[in-house]
Amino acid sequence: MSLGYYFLLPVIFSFLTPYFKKIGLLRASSILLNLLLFLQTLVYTMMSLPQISLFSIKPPLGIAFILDGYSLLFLLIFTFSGLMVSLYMPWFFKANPRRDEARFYLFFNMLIAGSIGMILSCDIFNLYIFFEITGICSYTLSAYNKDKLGLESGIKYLIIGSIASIFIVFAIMLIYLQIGTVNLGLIAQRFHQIDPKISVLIVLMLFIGFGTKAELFPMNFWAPDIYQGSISPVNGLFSSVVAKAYLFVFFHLFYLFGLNSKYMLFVMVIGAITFLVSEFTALNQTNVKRLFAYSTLGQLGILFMAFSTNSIDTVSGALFHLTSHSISKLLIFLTLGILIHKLKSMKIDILGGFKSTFLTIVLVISFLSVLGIPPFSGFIGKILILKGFALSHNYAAVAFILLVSIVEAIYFFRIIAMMLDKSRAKVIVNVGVMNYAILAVLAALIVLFGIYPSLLLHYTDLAANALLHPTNYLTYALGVGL
Amino acid sequence: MNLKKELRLKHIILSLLSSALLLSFLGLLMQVKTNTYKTVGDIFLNLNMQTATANAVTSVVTFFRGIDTVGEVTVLFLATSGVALMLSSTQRTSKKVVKQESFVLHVGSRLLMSVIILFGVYIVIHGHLSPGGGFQGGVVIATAFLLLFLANPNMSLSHGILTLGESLSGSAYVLVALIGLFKMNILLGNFLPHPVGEIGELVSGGIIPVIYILVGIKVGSEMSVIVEYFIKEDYYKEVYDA
Repeated sequence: MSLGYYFLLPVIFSFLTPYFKKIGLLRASSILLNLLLFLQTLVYTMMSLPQISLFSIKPPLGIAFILDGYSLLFLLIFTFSGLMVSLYMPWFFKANPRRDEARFYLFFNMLIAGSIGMILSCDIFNLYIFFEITGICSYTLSAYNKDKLGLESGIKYLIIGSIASIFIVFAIMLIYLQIGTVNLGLIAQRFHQIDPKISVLIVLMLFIGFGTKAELFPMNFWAPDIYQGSISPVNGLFSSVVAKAYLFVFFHLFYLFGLNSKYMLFVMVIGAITFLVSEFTALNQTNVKRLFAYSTLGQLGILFMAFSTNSIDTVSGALFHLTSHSISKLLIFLTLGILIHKLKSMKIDILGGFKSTFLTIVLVISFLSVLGIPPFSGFIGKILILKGFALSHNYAAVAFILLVSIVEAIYFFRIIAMMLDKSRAKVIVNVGVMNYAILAVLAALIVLFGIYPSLLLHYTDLAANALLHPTNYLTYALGVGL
Repeated sequence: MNLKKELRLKHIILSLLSSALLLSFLGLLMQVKTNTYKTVGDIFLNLNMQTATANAVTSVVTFFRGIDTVGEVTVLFLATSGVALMLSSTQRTSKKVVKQESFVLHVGSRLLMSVIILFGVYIVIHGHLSPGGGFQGGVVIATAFLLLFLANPNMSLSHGILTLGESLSGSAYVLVALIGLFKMNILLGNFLPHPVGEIGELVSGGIIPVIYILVGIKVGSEMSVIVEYFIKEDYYKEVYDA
């Protein structure tokens, strides 16, 4: 048991990929790897938090991986998504055979490992390294379809991502010049001593860097193109793992550096604009992947609004909504992979052109959950966010979220009506046994968290407390008493 | 190319705007006061005796911030695999340009190659004693192969050996990290003996020279693979166009 395994095991796996001569062995070991990491996370849920794993020497000089309540929830989401996608991939490659399948597993496992590294590391430069690892994996995976759309998305992501990482390097450099350290605990202690002019510059650069990657409004023009060009399971990973990892880092630094009082309104307005613009743009999309990409951006907008509020109730609700959104989007994109393969099209009509009771049911469940309709988990998340806003007397935000949700409801109900329309020509779609199991588990989780929210609320409360009051995290990051 | 079309008003405005931003950024940087804290760098310099290496930079790179180096090696590996994934699709014609290399070029490049490789190996092995190390030495070794390719584009490297070097050195690096975990309960812990008295000798510093040699093998083989992919890509495209 060590937190280092989350990074080192996938690394050793990807170094050895050229020696898996049989593709079946590679598939099986990828599943095994993700299963092991998921099981380790389950063990961590039963242990006292925070947990720490040291590298070379003790912090604050050395680097350590720290697991607190906030990162535990994200770790659960990431390892679970990794396991689901690795179980799904054998079907996907059987349906869409590729010669370079082995390289997919390499990048896929490192994508998850990089995202996990970002949420565990307690050193801002080390975090940047994981940022780069995640970045390179996502550039390559978005270009994995080596057709025109795929290459366009790969190049676009490469350029945008590199610009974002330049901003982050500059911010880290300025921080080091000012306070002589890259340890997150020490930076958190000393951040207020930085000259205000420079600290605004640092915050702005971090905002541009992580905001671009976390798909915030003025910098998110690239995201739908990336979703359109890449394969469906990768879309699911981008939506449920990668975007969430950047969001994690954004708010981790936001609260650790004590920026919440100064920049709260700013982030909230940016989040609101993201939500508004994305939902209206989603209305007239004709490509399914672009549609759900814009829907993801909209949900990220709500999350940014709720996360910046500095109130435990709202943040806990936001974490609940984030979890349920991750599960729903994973389900939607994995199902889209099946439909796009069978109907050979990415037009929105394919959602009305298939015949499979099972797929219809799971899709409707996930749509209603994203919309926030009872008895599904999205409802609990959204109602907790609204309740949090109402408790802090921010009625404008409540009205705004409810009004924009109507726009969201328009396109989701349009799709649902299309799916239930019997007059359309239907193609019978057979789902493999494994896909049945994966999609059923995801849909069952959505229903389960909707009916017994206390299962998940335990973890989200823990996470919200750890995020807003990081005293425990700081003592570990500073290496006190190790 | 039509220059008038390229130089639009918006481009001029954009470049003026970005230069103004850059100037204000530099102006801000000029006003930065020097920090009042001791930087981590100073503390590491004082701690360097613990690691028993003569080169303080090496102990920071491979030991104090060792996980960063694992990450950097991984970034390089991912970049190489990405290049391989993207370039392996180009249509390769079986037609080869039979270009006879000149005798002087043939002998000269091979003579130089052995010297360059020797120099690279020296830099890698002495990484903990003198400036340089795995990354620098690895790149020097890769330039030897670049020279061979420039002299004779028909040459091809043995992929089996390169992949072996790449995979085994990388995995061995991670294994070293894990052995540290089992023996000292700290990942990347320095579990080999490193008495301070041996400082400056070739075998000193515990795991640090071992890590740098592994990094050297990995970087060397990966850079060679990248060089080969790019050179062959260009070469095949020329053949294809012609």
